[in-house]
Amino acid sequence: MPELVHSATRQRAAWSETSDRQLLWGLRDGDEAALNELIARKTRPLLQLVARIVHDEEEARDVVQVTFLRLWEHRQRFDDRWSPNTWIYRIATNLAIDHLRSRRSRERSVEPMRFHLQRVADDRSRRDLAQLGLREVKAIFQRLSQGLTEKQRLVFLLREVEGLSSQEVAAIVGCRESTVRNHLFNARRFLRRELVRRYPEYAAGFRAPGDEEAGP
Amino acid sequence: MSCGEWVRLRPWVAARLERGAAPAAESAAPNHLAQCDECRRLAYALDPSLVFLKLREPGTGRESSDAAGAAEIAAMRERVATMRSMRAMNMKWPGAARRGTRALGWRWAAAALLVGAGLAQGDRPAAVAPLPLALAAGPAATMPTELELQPVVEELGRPEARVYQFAGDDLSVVMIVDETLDV
Repeated sequence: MPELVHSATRQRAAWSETSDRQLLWGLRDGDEAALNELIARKTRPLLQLVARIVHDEEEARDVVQVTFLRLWEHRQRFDDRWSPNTWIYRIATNLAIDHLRSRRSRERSVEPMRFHLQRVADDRSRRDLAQLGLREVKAIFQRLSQGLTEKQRLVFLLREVEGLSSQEVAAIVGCRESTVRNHLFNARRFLRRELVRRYPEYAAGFRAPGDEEAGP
Repeated sequence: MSCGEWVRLRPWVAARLERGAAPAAESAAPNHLAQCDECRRLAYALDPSLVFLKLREPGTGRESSDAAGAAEIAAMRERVATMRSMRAMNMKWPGAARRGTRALGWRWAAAALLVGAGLAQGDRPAAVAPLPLALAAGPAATMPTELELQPVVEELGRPEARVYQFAGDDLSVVMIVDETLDV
């Protein structure tokens, strides 16, 4: 009876039951099946996060692709003291911000026209913030978040949208928890104020202390 | 108003408006807001930025079915595999060839320095510590005493790079010098 020494199917099945940390250990050992499993697990959450940072789904795919490549090429650098998500999100967010910076310098000249077209395409028929659909919320966030600093937007997305803890966000962004709280507060305040200013129909009757201050 | 949850939610919403507020235990709050129209309206009236919690809901980033998700994953695997192959090709072709040449050059440069150190050893006073045995008994022992130094013999497509050759009877050492290389 021949002995089965290698089976890709069996290997894939085995990896699918392991934790993210074990997966990264497998990656560190150069196991390509571990990389494939990591792609299966993290593609969608990473695409969501990166798309919200770069505001473009196709570009987000490019960034996520490079993220996986980096994870593979730098697999020996994974530190067990880090949570796997912190390690992966840190690489992805750094790449996304780099991408955003390089794109911004290219796009500066066409931005005013694009902004104008977005405004024209606005669907203002819905007046109730509580009834806004996901697509509208996404579009509004995309527009308003352009006024946030990179750190503010990143912290807001990781904390508010991804639901990560302040500690995890601090590790990903590379700052203290108190700084994370500060960025988060400023981001919320800016978004709140801009929402009221640019979309008053959605936020009628809103009053909050301290929102008259200027700047993001 | 009839939702009893609002009593617990209100302090959580209010804390969002304060700078430096400690992170509140919030795991249940966004879930409840997503389900309860009444609390959502009350919460949004206090803090309209809560509307962006909707981005947490699945499918927001990409409205896709499981089948489309599987296709996305398969496509991503393909893209990563392709990119890895391209990187591997680059390691073998022009770009990598240049990198390989540089690496080789630096290895040669290091070897040349070691050999040079070995040669210089002969002229030094006895008080100087001798070279390690491996070096002293190695190439340095067979090097000719007179070395011919040829000034630039080749360029590597980089105007800053210079290649020197120390030509001997039994041993030839090539040294590539490029001060602009980032190693």
